[in-house]
Amino acid sequence: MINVFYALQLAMDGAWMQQKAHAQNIANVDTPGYKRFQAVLNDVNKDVFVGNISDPRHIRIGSQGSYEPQWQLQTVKDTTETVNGNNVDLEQEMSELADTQLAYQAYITLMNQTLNRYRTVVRNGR
Amino acid sequence: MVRFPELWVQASALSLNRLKMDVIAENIANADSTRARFENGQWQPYRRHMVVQQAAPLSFKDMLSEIKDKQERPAERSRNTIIGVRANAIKEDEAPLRRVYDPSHPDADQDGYVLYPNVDLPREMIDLLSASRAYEANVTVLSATKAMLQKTLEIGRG
Repeated sequence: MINVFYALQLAMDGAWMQQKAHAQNIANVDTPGYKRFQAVLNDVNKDVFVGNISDPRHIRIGSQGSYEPQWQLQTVKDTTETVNGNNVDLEQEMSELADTQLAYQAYITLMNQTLNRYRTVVRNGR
Repeated sequence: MVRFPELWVQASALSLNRLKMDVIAENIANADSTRARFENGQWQPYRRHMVVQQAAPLSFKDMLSEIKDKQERPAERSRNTIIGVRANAIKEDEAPLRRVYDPSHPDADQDGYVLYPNVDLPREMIDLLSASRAYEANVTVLSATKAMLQKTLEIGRG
């Protein structure tokens, strides 16, 4: 079962990481040689060999069950640059910033609604 | 103590752009100053100043882990340190000075030429515009980050 809190937490982590990337990129919009950052979901364990479990007594092999996706910042080096080697596009960063903000607000709203549903259940409908 | 290092990224960018605007103001104010320094019995005209900026980690902890990452995994592109911006130096422009013929000027040489600063007004104005635009962009990002942090505090309030 997908834990809704976990899913929302991961989404919010991602939005926050994106915000960090935009913050750094916009702070360095005029820095010579600076390369922009972007947030990516770390998937190092995704393709690792995983043992098939057909019986609960089997010993787990590989990263199954322990795979924890994590957001990370990564430099982008393959986009167009200006003459001073900087590849930050201010307009793009600002639009993505607005997008990230709205997404983050949506996640918070969803989180609160989920909490409210749980609250209703705990209070027995009152 | 830094509670939200994300806000300090913008703080560093704001103070850098403020510094740039101050330096530009100094350049424009001294666009015609023929006496900036007294060297070897002669007045030297003012030279254009410029800010050298660099992307840099903000805290000592981040600086250390940045260096460690670079040594241990030089090919790695991802990192978790927070990078701000800082002014490295304020340098003097070595470009040639303006020579203007004005024999009656007190600073004129034997041939009647006066050396004026190498400040180029249109260029300064463009730099000023670009610094103030960057300042505005960073103010926007700062308030966006702050709004996100405030929104986070609303979790669970119903």
